[in-house]
Amino acid sequence: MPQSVLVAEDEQSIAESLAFLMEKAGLEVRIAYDGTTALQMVADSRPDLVLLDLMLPGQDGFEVLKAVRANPRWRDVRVLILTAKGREIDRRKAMELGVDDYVTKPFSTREVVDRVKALLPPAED
Amino acid sequence: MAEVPVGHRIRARRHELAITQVDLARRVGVSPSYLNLIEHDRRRVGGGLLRRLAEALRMDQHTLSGAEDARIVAELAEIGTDSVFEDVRFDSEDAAQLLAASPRLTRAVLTLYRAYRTTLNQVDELSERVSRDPFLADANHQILTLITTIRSFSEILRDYGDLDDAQRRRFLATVVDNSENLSDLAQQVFDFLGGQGARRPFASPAQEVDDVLHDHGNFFPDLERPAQILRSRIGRRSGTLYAALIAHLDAHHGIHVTFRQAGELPPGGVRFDPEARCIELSEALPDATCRFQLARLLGRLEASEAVAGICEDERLTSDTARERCREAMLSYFAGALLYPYDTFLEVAEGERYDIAVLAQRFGGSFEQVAHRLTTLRRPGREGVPFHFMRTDIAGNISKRFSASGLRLPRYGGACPRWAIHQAFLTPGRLVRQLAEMPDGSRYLFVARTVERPAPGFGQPQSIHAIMIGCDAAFAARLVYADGIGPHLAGGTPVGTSCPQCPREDCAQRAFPRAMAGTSPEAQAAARSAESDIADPTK
Repeated sequence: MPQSVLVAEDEQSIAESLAFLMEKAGLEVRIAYDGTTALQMVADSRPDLVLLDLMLPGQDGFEVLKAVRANPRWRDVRVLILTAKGREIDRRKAMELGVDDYVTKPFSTREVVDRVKALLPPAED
Repeated sequence: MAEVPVGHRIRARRHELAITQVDLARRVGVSPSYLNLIEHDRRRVGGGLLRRLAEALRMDQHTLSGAEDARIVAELAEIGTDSVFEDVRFDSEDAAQLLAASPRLTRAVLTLYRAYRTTLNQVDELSERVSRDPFLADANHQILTLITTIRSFSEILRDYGDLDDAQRRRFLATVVDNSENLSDLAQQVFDFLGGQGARRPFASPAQEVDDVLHDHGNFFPDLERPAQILRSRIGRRSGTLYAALIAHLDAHHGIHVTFRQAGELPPGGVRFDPEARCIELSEALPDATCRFQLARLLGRLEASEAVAGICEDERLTSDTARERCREAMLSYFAGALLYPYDTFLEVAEGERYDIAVLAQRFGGSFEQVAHRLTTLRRPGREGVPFHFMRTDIAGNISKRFSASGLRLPRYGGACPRWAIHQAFLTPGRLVRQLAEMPDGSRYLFVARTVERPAPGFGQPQSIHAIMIGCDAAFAARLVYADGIGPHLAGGTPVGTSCPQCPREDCAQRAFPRAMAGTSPEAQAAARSAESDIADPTK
């Protein structure tokens, strides 16, 4: 079974490019355009990784991250934040909340793909 | 804390009262030589002697003892530790000495320091407001989002050779769309950060009015219409326009015009008394100016609603700015009344914008005509797009507007090579100049001084220089381009103002270029410019 990734990003074009990249990397992709939907999808399908934007409508990325980390059943879900918030304080806050990696926009697509691969252990066939 | 010297106060007060040292010494019961030591701060004073001295000098003992001075010395000593005085550290000892030498200068230093602190606080506050400005914060996020999209799809197009045609087309369209959005947004940000007429977080009243003028393109149909109607009513009368204005004021508003000696009126030479229904004009004013003042008054009487409407603009954030705008609008109305749009534009085009001819034809002044030319911006029936500025001989810019594309300096003086400054070398004579900006854009400048006649011999006279100009592309429509050459080639190398100008080799440079970068060459050029200023022999 392929590993799965949830793209939580409210900008449609960025979500589309990320979905494309993840599919090309052999992952199963779902997209959420707001924080509340993203959490619902985590609950429904427990993805292996969440690509999480911070400035999401509804519950923002920090709240989504906090909720994911607060639930023991989702302890193994990897979270990679992709954000325009490049301030050091935002990065620290995300680290404090238990994010696995943090990339600021505008990002390099190769770098994102590399970091996703680094976060996901080889799939068990 | 250092002992505050008392001697200087005793000596000063004794001189004030014209008492000799010997006399004062006798009155307070000490020897003249001891008093001399006290006056030179070589003996300390206290108790009964201080009280007797205060009595003899008819002074409050507190003042004499220097309680106030002690506070000043303490404050001065405290500011001596501020980092701004890093290279000239001073302590309470120095402070006390300064106070002894000159109490007034000491207070001046404190006043200056307080003003400096207030300014620093304001700067902090402004920086804070800029960083929190919702427009910039939002723009920042949008720009990053757009760039992220463009970059992602560009890299996908580069890295994935197996895209099908539909995908490739869609991804390319996304890149193009987002690039266009990014361009628009970048323009908005540039406008915000200082483009002319753009909204800015902080602006002086003058800048706010400049913004309103710019955003209306210096054309106000709400004032043109009433001016045109009024002109047609006035125009039916016989005689000169000047006489007709006076007659109209009398007939329709019961206002009479009287002339007074210049000294009896405020500096502008005009005073309106609404109660007495009377406008007083200085005998020293030329007819053209008198007419203009009467036209302004008619604007106040007959177009007040239109003027008030324009001044309700939300960009005007203070009463000062609104009042300034009102004054500008009354002058606009006067211009529109005295130089009716269609007629004036037709004659201007016919006479190839020869300001002297237009001034003669319409009975106006150089400044009025030059200014009116900049307002010929009615969409669909526009004149040449001009810029306009007025400066005094010290370089203070008091009027500015630009529709020509030329950037006029907002802060400080303009480029010293501009014709407007040269005009002061030949007062009353027209100076023209083909000027080339650092970016290669070229403008035709026309400048002349205008002076208000002195009210009498020995009286100060006000003199300004006026400049209008246009992009070289329009120059052929102007009589002033004649003889410069068939292709208007070349031009004087100029800039906007020294701090913004990249011409490092300019011999007229007054200030180093701001944000010149940190290259050794740039730094050397900046140092050289500074040393030129410091060395008057160069």
